[in-house]
Amino acid sequence: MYSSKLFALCLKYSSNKQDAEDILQDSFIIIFDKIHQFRKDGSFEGWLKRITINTALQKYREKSPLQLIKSKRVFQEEKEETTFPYDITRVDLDMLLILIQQLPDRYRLVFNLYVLDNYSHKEIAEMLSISEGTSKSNLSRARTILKEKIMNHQKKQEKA
Amino acid sequence: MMNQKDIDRLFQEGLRDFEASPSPDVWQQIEHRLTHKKKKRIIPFFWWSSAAVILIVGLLFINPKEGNNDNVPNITFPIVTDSSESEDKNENTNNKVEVVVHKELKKEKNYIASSKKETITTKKIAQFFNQESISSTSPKKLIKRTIHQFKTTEFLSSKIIGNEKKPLSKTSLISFLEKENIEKKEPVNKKWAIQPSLAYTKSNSLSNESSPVSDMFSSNVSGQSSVAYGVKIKHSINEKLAIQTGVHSQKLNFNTDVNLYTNTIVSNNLSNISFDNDAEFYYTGSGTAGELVEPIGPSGSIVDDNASLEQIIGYIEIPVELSYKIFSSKKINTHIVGGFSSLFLNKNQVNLKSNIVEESQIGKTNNLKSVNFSGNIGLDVTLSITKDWNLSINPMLKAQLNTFSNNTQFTPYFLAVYTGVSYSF
Repeated sequence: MYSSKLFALCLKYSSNKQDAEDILQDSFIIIFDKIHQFRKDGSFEGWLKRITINTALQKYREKSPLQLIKSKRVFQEEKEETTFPYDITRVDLDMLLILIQQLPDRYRLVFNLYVLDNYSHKEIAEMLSISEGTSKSNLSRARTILKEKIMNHQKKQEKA
Repeated sequence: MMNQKDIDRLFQEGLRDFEASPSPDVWQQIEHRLTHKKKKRIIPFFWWSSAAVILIVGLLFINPKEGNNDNVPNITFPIVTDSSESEDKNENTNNKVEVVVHKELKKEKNYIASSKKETITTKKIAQFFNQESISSTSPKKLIKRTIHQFKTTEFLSSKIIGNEKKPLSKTSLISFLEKENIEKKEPVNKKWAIQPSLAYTKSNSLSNESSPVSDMFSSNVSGQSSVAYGVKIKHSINEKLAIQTGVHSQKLNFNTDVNLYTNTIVSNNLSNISFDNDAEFYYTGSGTAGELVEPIGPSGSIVDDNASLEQIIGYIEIPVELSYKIFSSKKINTHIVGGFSSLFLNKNQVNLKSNIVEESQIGKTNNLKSVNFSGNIGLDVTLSITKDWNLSINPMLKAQLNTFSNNTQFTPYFLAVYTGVSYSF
């Protein structure tokens, strides 16, 4: 079901359900519009996904970068040292989604594009109008944040 | 400790099959936006705008926004496939709208094809999902059914691409989409091109048996190379076909090997050449290699057996050709070109090339027709430099049909490579 996959995509790229719904709507309008530009020999699902991703990037591009700095500060406050071992099976899907959505916009976009949708840093740099180096460092920060949060979550579960 | 690969994998595997549904009113909003968008983007035909207005008013009439569910048919989108029930309910109350739609649809058989701008129209949505009959369906129902289908069925992408309508160069809010692999066809709004061109040409003949200087000659004739210049104007009829014309200079150039003899008697023994002043030489053909040639007339000494008579025949050429695109890529296009040219004689010279005399014009060819035609065929390879400028390399074969008025043996043709830079507008 294309709509479910596309909405899932929107959720991953957004910070909340409302934004995801807006992105889904915008993408649909564009898809209807551009349907006959689609080449027969490409993957239809791939084309739908690409439009949806571009819509999502557009939405967050328009937001003020000030938001990013603010979230960064929050992250630094939460940092904790921990050596608890993690257990992959104990992090469920809902949690993964929430963790991604909690990332600051830029880090979330880069993480999605690189890790979940397999774009290269070169492509990401072009799509977000940043340098490749920025893309790499954003990805690395995103991973660090996610790692910390997962380990915190595990720690809390251990204690419970 | 988790390393970065583990994190990546954790998220990749965890979210790989993730699917979700949005709140139901999202579909409603999409439908709303589609119908509103349709209204905004109607092409400026008067009756078309009024049709849209009637349509939307009709829809609003059927679906008041107060949310009174007793009187208003259920318009939310069920996610399961039993929407047929609610559609039937709509049937009765939507009569007014249906009638309106009927009328409008009847007015215009194929308003998709005639509209220059992209519009989300009822018919297009129907085509989108291969619906056969749309005349009995209100656009609102159709949109609803469309979106419903979109949610519950798989597309076969081949079904969607059926029309040959050219996509438009719209400005899109999202500029990336232009960069996508979605085929961006070359906008064919640049229909004209003008191209000054320069050519390297080589004259030749289909039969080397006879010579242009005299019917009775048996001699070596060789075609010479030359330069042509001109201007080409091209008009694109559609994406593949173009018609082109222009003005070029064209020069045929043949050297006929002759033996020069002196003679006290002034004679003119070449039937097709008129000499400018009394020549002191007379000429015989040099014949094929090894053959002894008997001089015509009183014997004299050979003055030069390596001389040649050079015939220069110049034309103003006006070609009319068709160009058909056979290969196409981002930067390079290849066309096959064919057509005819009208040739108007504007230069006629006969020069003597010899070691013993200075090269000079000594006369002209007298059996040339002043209007001539050639059949042309060739290839045109264009490289795109920028959006408007192209570099063109165009080898052509041009066979002349009507050069000489009496000499039918000698049939000149013309190989040329035209090069030029063209500007499209």
